[in-house]
Amino acid sequence: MTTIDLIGKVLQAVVGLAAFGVVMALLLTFLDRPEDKPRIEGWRAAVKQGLRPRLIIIAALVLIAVLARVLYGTASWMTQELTNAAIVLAIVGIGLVLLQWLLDRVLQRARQAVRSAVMRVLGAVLVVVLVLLGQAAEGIPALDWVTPALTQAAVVVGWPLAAALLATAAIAFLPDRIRRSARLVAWLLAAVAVVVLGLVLEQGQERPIGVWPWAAAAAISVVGVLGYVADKDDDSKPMLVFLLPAALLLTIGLIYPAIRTAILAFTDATGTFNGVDNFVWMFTQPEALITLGNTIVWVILVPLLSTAIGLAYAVFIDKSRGERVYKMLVFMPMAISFVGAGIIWKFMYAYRGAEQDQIGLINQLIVLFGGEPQQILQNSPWNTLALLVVMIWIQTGFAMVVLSAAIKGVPTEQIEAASIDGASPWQRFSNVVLPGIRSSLVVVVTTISIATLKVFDIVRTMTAGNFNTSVVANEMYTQAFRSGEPGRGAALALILFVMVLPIVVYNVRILNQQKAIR
Amino acid sequence: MSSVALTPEPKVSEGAVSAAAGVGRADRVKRRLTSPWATIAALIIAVVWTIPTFGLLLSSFRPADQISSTGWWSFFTNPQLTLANYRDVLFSGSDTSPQLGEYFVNSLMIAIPGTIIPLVLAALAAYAFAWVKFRGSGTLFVVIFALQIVPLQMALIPLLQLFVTFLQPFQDALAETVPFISERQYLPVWIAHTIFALPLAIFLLHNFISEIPGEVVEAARVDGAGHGQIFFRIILPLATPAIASFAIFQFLWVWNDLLVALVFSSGTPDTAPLTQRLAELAGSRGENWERLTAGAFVSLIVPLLVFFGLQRFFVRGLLAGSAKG
Repeated sequence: MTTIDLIGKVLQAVVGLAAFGVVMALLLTFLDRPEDKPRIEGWRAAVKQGLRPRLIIIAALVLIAVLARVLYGTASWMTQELTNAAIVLAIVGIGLVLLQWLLDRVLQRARQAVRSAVMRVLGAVLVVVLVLLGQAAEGIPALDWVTPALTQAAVVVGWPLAAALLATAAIAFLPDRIRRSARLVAWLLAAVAVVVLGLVLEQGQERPIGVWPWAAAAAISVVGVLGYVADKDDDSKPMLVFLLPAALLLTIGLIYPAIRTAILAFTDATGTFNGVDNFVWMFTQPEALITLGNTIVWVILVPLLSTAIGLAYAVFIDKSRGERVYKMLVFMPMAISFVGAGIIWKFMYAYRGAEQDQIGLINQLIVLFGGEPQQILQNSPWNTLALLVVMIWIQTGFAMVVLSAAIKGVPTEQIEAASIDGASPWQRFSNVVLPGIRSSLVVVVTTISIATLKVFDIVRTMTAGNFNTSVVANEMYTQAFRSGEPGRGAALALILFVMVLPIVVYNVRILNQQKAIR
Repeated sequence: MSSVALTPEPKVSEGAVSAAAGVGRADRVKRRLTSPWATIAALIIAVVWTIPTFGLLLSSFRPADQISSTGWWSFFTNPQLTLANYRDVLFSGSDTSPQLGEYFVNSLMIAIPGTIIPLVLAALAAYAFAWVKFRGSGTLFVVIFALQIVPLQMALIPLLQLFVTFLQPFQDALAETVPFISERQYLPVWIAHTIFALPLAIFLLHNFISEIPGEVVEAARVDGAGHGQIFFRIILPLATPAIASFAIFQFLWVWNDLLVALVFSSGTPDTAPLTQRLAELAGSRGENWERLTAGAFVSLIVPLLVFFGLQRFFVRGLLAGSAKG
């Protein structure tokens, strides 16, 4: 690794975090609403009030433009296109900041509806101007950095966006109830329009547009829905700012992909619809069946054994001397990565021929008791058990810590009363302690079950799914990213989803019950 | 990692406190509850659970020829230790050896932003759910909680497609612009980790933030503080314990992750984290134990340091995620 590589890496992290910080700061400035502040008379006071944040933004933009111009000609990588892009964007940005400030000032006394309508109309005009500029970019030298793909994106997203802004501006003066619903409809229609436009434009082209119109549509819908909710009264407006980033990321990164995967599960390697072929494959091919069978073995044995051992251990060490050290030793594997654990156990299982010294502890023990050394990770079906042990080794610590805390929550009076009544230690445990920690037990079992269903790293590191050890999560990766069968991979992911579903539904019900109690 | 039921942390500590108060009597009860056999069983479990890690640690310090010819337990009859394995694994210049130093930096550069970004976003969202009243907040919250059912695996393929069409052009432009940033960057990995962390993070932080006494927030509102001010001046400082414990969790999770790295990082020394390189090594050089043992321990050292240093927060985070409420 050279120093310049290191600088590049650290620079990425620093720049990335700084950009994130700037975006967050900009978002939070939207919280600064005129109605929150006392009304200010006179231009000078108004200038003073809104000056500082805007001045900082303007200064930053000027700096970018100047830097671009200075670097152009001195640094080899500063191309003409890039310089133009920086300067044009900086000028546009400064213009927007000034415009926003001016409007803020002019509209300060206007009614909420008027203010909102004017802002929306202006926004629509701006979007249209940008789209038109993008389309005319070829003839303008300062816009030589606008690529065809960028223009296309501007067209696909720009027109529906402008239309939605105009439509919502037009209905700003309607009564509240109608207005909210009409706005929501307008935004959802815009989202649909983006997708339709994208599909239509894609037809005449040799290069597909890709999936981003769908993502853009999802983003517009989220903004629309959140706006609908926030429109109710003034006090709920801040939630837009607070919730928007997370909601957008979750929509684009989790909800939309989940739906896509569900659709993908019904297509073949080339992406054409093939009905339930993938599922037929899954439930008929021997190797796929073994994968499913293994997953079931995993999800039964791992939660059961690790919870049982964890519970026993928690009871044994409860209030004993050195409890903390005991806990730490068993809990430590939780901090270790699955990959690290995989290597640790691969080393435990290491195999040497019978005539050599063994280097793996397990085989050494087998030899010690007079057996033949085994290729533990290759002998099916016991190799699945060997992998399972690793997961149990990791999860027991989790079960132990949670259950130990729960045991300490059982009132000592109850235990004492039971022992006065002559209950044996086992009776005390099963009749008093166990009912007391029931809810924690449920939580531990479900949590470990979900983690087990998703287990991937252990199998990947130790056998890569060979020798009949594959599980659904690993097979899904293999099919989708190694064998070029995304349809099958998606089908497996869907099965995984179906397996996890009941567990989480159960937990949501518990969550709701607890809410009701509160 | 996916956790369940909610838990106001104060309740857990209340339980601990009441348990502590009853220690005198508890001792008497305990004496009758546990037997020497239980202690022995606990001892055996503890030893069995520790041996694998201990064997790896010891092996990583043994000379290469000894690792592959004798078991690590023969160290006790023939003690020889060396640091050569670590030198090889971290800094060796040849192409065939692991050179984990570079991957170590990658792991750090992925894990730090991968912790900070989701935490900030989740704290904002959790505040909105807990304190900004709007219709449908309950439903929306349950939706986000339920998002935990979407297995990572389901989101991978479409997300990758999105990144290729959306992010890749931007990354290429950046790499062309700044010569010492490679065209393979951390950005997709950060975003992926952020997305996958959000449901749980929002859920946990919400539980904690909603426990903050309402009077504090109301008083600030009456004094004319805006939501931004309340968030930064009141909520963030008060929620520090929850934030700290979740930060540790998320850091460990990102550091230890393999799947996200496999899919979203390039797999080259430019961006691949330690886990990915180690998984490769374990596959391709399964018998090269002197490299593997030392390499594995290099990857363990940061999580173990975090674990031993911040154990209190770590356990608290676990309980916040799963103990009863």
